[in-house]
Amino acid sequence: MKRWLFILSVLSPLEAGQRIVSTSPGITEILFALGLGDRVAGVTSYCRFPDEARRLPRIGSFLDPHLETILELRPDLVIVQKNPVRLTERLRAVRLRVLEVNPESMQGVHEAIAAIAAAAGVPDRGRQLSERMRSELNTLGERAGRLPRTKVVFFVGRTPGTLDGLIAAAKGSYLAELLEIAGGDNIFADAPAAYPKITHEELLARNPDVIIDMGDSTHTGVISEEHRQAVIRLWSRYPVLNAMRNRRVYPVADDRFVIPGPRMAQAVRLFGKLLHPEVSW
Amino acid sequence: MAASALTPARFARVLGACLAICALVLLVTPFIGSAHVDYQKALAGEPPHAQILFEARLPRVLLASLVGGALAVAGVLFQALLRDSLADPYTLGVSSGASLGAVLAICLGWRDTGSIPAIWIAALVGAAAALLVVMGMASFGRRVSSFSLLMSGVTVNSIVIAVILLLQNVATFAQSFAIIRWLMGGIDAVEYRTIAALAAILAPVLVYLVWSARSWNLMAAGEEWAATRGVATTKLMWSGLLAGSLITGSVTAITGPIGFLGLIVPHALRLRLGADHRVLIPASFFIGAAFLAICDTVARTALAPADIPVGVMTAMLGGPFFLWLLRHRQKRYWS
Repeated sequence: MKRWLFILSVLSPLEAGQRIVSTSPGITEILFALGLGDRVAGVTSYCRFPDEARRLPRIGSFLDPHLETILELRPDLVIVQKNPVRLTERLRAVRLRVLEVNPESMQGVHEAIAAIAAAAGVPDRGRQLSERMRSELNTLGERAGRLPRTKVVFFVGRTPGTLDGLIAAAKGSYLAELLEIAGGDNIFADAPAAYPKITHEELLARNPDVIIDMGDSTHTGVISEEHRQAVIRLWSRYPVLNAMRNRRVYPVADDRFVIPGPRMAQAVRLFGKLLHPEVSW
Repeated sequence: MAASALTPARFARVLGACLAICALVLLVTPFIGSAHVDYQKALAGEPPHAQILFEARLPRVLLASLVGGALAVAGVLFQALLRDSLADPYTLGVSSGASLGAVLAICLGWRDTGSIPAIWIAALVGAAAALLVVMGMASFGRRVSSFSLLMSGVTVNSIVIAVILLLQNVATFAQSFAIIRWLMGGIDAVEYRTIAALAAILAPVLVYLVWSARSWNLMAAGEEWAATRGVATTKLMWSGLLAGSLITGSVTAITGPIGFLGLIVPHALRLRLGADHRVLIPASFFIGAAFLAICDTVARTALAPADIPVGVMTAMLGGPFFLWLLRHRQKRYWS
């Protein structure tokens, strides 16, 4: 009898992944969106969404995970975002069950959702979540498709307080995918890297209608009015830019732009409001 | 040829040639770029041609040449001062001090202080702090020796870099992104008033160095040698340190560290022109200016619209050339 119970417990998918440790904010969001929040035993110090995640034990960060803390939490499953610190190999070496995912693009997020849902024994919930996100994105995409496209650039970084070192989201980046759906025409779609540093010369030549600037956001969150004014002052150096002329330089700071995950439709909606404020999103 | 005595005619000929090279580069590079510019429209002030030429391209060329010239001179100076052929503007930790200042500004979220970006001020303060620590460690009373300067410089450098790495490790993702970008260094289109301010700091320092070039000749041969020939060595050491640090600190605050140039331009010129500082200092300025302007032109056009860190270009363009020069020179020695 006991033996049967043991075999059952091994086979039962419900038993799998009772204590899950997440090693990136995106994974944490996926776990909670799948309704697995009560099984999450540990998150990273950057996991701020949803609120419940803030109260969970911290295992360090994506690039600097504490192996000992992870072991201390006695997880049945550690979900690792593909990273350069070889965390998966290190965890497998101490015989932990590891699932590696790579939610760095829209496709990657859907694949991660499916893999995580399967590993946690709730594959149906994964399909439902992905389906819900797809249909939401389709609706938004159709809405944007009826509108004229807006020339846009999204700056993910620069030297704070200056216009030096402008890093744009270019072709192949997650942000470029979202902007595209929201009706944006990325002016740096042809750049040779996903996040290139771009020259002022090319920015002036390509003349975006909208500039979305996340450059100063040393901590993502809220932008104060004072900070907003300071960013506009920086950009006022180039009054010939259409974005400046039409007052469409938007300083932003929002986790949803930097964490590929289940909130991607919300991010697209935020972009939609910036690119096409004339329609309701 | 390289060791021939410095006659007024030779001085004029060599500097004339260097100046001509520099002028040629400054005349040509503003016309090279990735964006299409109609120069007639640009001169008529028509957007965006005028802005691309005068606000994006020209300031970059000017900043690159000013920075290149300044770093090359700082390289000559530190090599003479420390009597170490591997010395460069960054040997004494001035630039890592500047980097630490900038990194602190990024981590603490300082952005602007009115008209000057806080990060530049923090970098300048960091450079000054590093210099004070190095000089404090290396001096004994009023005297300071090259050897202890070199040792304390290298040590302070290591400590400061360790602190930067520590900060980068505890910084948020966005912060560490900004830190890495800053540490790569690079030339950007800054405003003309920034270039003017930098020139105003550098000009008197460069004039002083050219004026004191004879003393640096004696100093490079050895401190005692210089002292017996009437050079006030202690005073010269201090003023040289101050001059080199002013150059390195102010340049690094704006561009971040740009490697290789401060080492290679002085050596290339020494191989070609000999070690007389009366020629070497001004020649380094002109050739350094031309070299960085060329490197930056490649950096901003080769992979456009993307920008390559200019430090990558200085090493990739300058390195092979320098090796060739070295090889050529060796051949002459041995044959």
